[in-house]
Amino acid sequence: MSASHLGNTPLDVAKLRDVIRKRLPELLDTVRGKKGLILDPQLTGPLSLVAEIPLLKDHGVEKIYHLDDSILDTDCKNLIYICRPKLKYMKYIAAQIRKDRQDTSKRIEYSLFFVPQRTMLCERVLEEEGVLGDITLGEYAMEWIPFEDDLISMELDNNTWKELNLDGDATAIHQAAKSLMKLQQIYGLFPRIIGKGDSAKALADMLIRMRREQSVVDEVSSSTMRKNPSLLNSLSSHIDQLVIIDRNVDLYTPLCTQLTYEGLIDEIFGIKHSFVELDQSLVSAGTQPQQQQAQSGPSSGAPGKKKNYALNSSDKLFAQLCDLNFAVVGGLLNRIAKRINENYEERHQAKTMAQIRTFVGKLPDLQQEHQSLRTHTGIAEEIMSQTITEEFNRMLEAQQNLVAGVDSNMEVDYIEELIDKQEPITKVLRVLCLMSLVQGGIKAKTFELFKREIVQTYGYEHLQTLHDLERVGLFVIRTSSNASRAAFANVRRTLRLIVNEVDEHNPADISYVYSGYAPLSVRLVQCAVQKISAGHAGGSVPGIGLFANVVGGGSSNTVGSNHTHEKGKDDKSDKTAGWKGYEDILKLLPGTAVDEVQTEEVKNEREAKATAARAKRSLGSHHRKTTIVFFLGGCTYTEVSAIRFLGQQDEGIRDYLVATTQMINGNTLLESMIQNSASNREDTAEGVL
Amino acid sequence: MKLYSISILRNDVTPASVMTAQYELSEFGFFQRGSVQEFMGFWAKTVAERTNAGQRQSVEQDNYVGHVYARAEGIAGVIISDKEYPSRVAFSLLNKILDEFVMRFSPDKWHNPQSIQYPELKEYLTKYQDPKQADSIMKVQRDLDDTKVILHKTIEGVLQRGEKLDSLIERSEELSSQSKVFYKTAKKTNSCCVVM
Repeated sequence: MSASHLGNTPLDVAKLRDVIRKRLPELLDTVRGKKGLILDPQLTGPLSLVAEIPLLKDHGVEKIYHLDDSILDTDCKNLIYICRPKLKYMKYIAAQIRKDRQDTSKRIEYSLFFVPQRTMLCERVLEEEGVLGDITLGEYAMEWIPFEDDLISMELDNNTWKELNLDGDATAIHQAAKSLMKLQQIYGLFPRIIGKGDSAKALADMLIRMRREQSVVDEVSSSTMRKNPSLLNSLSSHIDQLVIIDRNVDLYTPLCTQLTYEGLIDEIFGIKHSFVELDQSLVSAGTQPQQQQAQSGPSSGAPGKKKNYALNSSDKLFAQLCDLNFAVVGGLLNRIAKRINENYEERHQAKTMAQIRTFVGKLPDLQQEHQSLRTHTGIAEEIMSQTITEEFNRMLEAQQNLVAGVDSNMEVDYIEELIDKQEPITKVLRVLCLMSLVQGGIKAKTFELFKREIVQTYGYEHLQTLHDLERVGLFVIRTSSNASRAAFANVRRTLRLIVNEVDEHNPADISYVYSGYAPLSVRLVQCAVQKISAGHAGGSVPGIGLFANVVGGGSSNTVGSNHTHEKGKDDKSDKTAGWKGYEDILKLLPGTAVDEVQTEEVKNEREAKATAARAKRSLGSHHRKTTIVFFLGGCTYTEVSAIRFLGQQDEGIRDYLVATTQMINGNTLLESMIQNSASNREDTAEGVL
Repeated sequence: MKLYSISILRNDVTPASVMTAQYELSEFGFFQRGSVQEFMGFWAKTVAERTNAGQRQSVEQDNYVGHVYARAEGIAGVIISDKEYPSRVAFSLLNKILDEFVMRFSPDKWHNPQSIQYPELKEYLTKYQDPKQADSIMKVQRDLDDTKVILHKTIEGVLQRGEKLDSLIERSEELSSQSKVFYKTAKKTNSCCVVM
């Protein structure tokens, strides 16, 4: 899998991929001879983005298996397991080792590499199963998988948010801290760390502590510093701040249906590790069997056969489409089809050999575009077939009304209708939780009604589901205090989350990604980074000064108020100011806020002078910095699109890098909470700790 | 385009003397041929005399062009053709013929034109009527043109493979006309009334 689309920014995220990529052969080489590789099925996706089969074969891998509870029958003399530190995997491995032990003719060497690190718990389980002595343990730290130059992901399982908020398991925070430390090692210290949310605060604290720990280690043994050169002691010249968004702070956004092209592909098809499974007919070229098809596996145009298609900017057409509101995608596809046609027609102008040669030279790219166009037209048609349905639009209407605070009983009736029709429970719960969140809880009588109907329609196991949802605050009874209801209404108003004038063709504001609702999380980023002016409840004439420079229909020559900040044309863009000025808004949102400035450690006067000189130099240099936005608990494709929009607005001033524990949408978020959902069915085999 | 005659003469003596010549006069009426041939012979001599050793030139007269190449050895070749006939081909033919002639017939034979038997000249005259057939450069040019045609056909073929662009254009037009902007709630959001 090539990564030719990475590496075009100052940060050069291709480096991150190379780091992981290099480590894999090193790891494989610790075992000599031919080996078999057994992989955690949830890691095969991310790994395939980083290493290809020939690379593995070069290092002696003969066969590759999935790790599951089946009996492993293999001739390999060496087996390497690579998996996450999950208990159930330990049990599978132990079972396999024990079985092979019985067959004394085989003497197999076992190695196990935990991703990203080993846990005492897992070692303990292996010990109890009696196989610890037979295995060599190690770690394979896969910190970041870069999807795009502006998007990197830790590719944790979808359970992160549930683990943090329901299970009280903070492992993900620790893993996130380690991954972020890795970034600091490569790019230098984050000059400022700000965040919102309790988990964000925990993460920030952990980062600061880890840095202190590292400097102690370095002091004690200077040899480690030489071995692992890192920029950990100097402020980054590339990154100006890290903004941590705890998913808890904004649960509204993932619950709404994403309306960008990539977002809808995720909602309808489901994107895994930047791949989407498509019907073979959409992807293969034409009806003629060609040699190329042979390498995509058994070639046949049989409908129903699926193929994995990579969705990233190496597909240039996709790069143009992914962030657009879906309403304008058809038009763009049409324009591009016409343009490709014109390009093809140019062949009639080619008279001399030189001209013919030029045309033929352009042909492969054109053909590639043509094929890409074919695939995306097919995808768009598939999406369209769903978005024109009555059901889809009714759901949108419900979501919009809820988020906009339009009061009516219609939404309650709507949800009841969904339950009566036995729509998938994920769909029901999505809109139900949205209602509960936005309205500060459900009226007691209605709450009981829903509970009863859901349990009766979908099964008694969902008593647990609803109970869990209640515990995390997604489905609660409205208490007499209208606090949270008023809070969201306040936030909606002050941060202008609902925008009526949305021009999908030429959006003026991030709210285009939901056709009228601006993702709360990204508004927060705007507060922290762009320093947008926030209106306050009283005393401002609507339209003036109220986000006049970020929200606007059409042209941005608003009533010329001098107080509105010119975005970053002044020096303010170089300095980060944290949450200053937004304390009121932050108070309305759940969780604590964190705002820390990191400075370089100075050991003596000489260093102090050097540091000061460096700082002066970097302040003088106006090369633009990157702001990292880290979503702890998952990030949606629409949020990525919205941040890209900010990047366009801040063109020349700063770049944005979106980092996340994983990519989520409303379905994947809730499925981690729903009993017996497909994603949970395997996990139920696991014992509860 | 036509070749009318090829002749090889001695031009180291004046007047130049014809050693061997071939004529292709089927275009002319039967009774004219004699005088045409005479005229052509006379013309060739004149032109050969006026061409110095190592020189090439083309002389135009009415509808005819005489291409002459005089070699250092004292012989010259003259081709009389019509205006269309590419001079490059004529000269390359002259090169060829004269090279062959010099190789075959040593200078002492030149005194005795009768003894010179050069039947290939007739063949050349016939063969080179169609310069494209005989001349290698023209052959290459023609192959090139053929190749271009084949290339165009191949390109067409390649472009036909895969779904026709036309259908994609249609489908995407369909898509863009069908898609309307998504539902947006139109209610004002600044309402603070709580109805529940």
